[in-house]
Amino acid sequence: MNMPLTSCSEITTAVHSQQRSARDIVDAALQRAEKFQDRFRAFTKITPDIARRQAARVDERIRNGERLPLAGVPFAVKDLFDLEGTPTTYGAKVFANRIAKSNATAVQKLIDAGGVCIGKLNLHECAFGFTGENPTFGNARNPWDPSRIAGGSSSGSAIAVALGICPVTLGSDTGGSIRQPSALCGVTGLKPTYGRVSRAGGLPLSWTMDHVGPLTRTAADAALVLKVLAGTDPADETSSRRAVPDYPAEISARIRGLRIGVMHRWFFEGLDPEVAAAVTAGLDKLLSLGARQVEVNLPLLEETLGAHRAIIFPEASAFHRPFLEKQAAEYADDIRPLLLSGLFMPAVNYLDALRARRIIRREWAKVFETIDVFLTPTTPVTATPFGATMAEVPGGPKPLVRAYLDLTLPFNLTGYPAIALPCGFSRSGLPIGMQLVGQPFTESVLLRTAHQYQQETDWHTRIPTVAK
Amino acid sequence: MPDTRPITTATIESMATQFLGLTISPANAGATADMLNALSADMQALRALPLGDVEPATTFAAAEGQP
Repeated sequence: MNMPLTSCSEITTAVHSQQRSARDIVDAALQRAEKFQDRFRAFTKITPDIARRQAARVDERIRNGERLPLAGVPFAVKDLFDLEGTPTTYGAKVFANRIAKSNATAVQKLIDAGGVCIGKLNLHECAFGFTGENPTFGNARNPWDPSRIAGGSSSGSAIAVALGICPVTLGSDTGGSIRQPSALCGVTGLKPTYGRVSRAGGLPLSWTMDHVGPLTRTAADAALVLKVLAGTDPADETSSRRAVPDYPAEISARIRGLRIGVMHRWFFEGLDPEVAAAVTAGLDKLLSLGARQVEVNLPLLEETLGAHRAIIFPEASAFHRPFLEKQAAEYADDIRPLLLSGLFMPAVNYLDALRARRIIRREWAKVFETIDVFLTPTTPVTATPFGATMAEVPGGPKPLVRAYLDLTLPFNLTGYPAIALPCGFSRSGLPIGMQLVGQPFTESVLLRTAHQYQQETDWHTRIPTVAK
Repeated sequence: MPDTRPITTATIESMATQFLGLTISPANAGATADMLNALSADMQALRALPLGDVEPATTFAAAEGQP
């Protein structure tokens, strides 16, 4: 078993056949987690005792004849999800002593399915940033070049998969926080439709735009994990009661005739030329598999950005207000002004953004009726060095916050599902990602498209030298 | 043309006290004012969008667990 590339299905097969025990596999994962921790800061806490206890339970269930979809699969979770008996720090000093009394719904589902949690993953503080720089737990570093950012806020989630520590991690995404680090670290990241996966037991950034989803090496693993994670949850009123499709069974179908929407304005403007070339080659590959290209025009994109800001700031501030009143000084210097700002934004702006959200959803639905998948780059540039504030793109430098989030955050406002997957590398060896977006609850289409692409390409199998 | 006078530190300090019951240091008030001035520019397009009689997309339900 080649640990960095081992898939969930390979692990479950080995555990079910009792060729390997869950305990053996988890020990190997823990060893890798410890080995890379000082250099890359993927974790806020590694939990060997919990992991070994869970692994022993999995081995017992297997001996009792149970079939478990994630038998013995090591996973780790962004440190905003509750893991019983451990601190849920949110990557922040303010929450350092918040001990979880139970597991988040998504975490519990992974454990029930036979997964084994090996730790809590580093993030940009309070999930309100996109670089992974963290003064409390150390800067999360890019496995392909530690002098560069890993992206964020699900920084550790992407690093742990890229380094082959575990094949699955859990992330959250409010503006691109699963997809952007996935792109910068060369892994596959799925943001399901809003409501597809329960948010219960995860600390919120923005209640109406937070999405929970998996980061994996392959789309096939993402399908397996989504089937476990998806479904209604009484603890999350926004979780959907729609039936959960058999995602793994649906990814093998061909994509002949698939309509791929492309929009050059906004999504292909101001790209690093290497990103543009890789994403165009990715599109060409899908067209060679029988898909067809449709030019589309998604309206109201500037309005989408404004509405996203008018929602995320007040929602974040409402959650953090009690802590801001007493512990403002404990927040990181880049986070405090963001959280304070939301306190001063007019309620009317917030409500108007929620009204605009309906209009945008209605207008976009018309466009998405004409396509099956909307294809974009995930980010216009690869991972930048620590400390950068601007991205160098054709047309002049662009603030990093706009460069890294403009292509992903529109789909948080509308709640549309989106998957990021590797589609190339720069000459300097940094991963490049493309994004596929679908109509609500069409994760099967996205996973199938991504899987078919990964059957024909090997970008997702590439591993940083340090991880080999 | 809209009034483009920037939000000031003093405005933030007095709003913090009067609306939020929050004491905010001058440094934090200054950083907050800077952030709000930047955010304001991002919301120009949103302000111009005709919203008509569209209701906000809230998720409140009168009964817990209501479908």
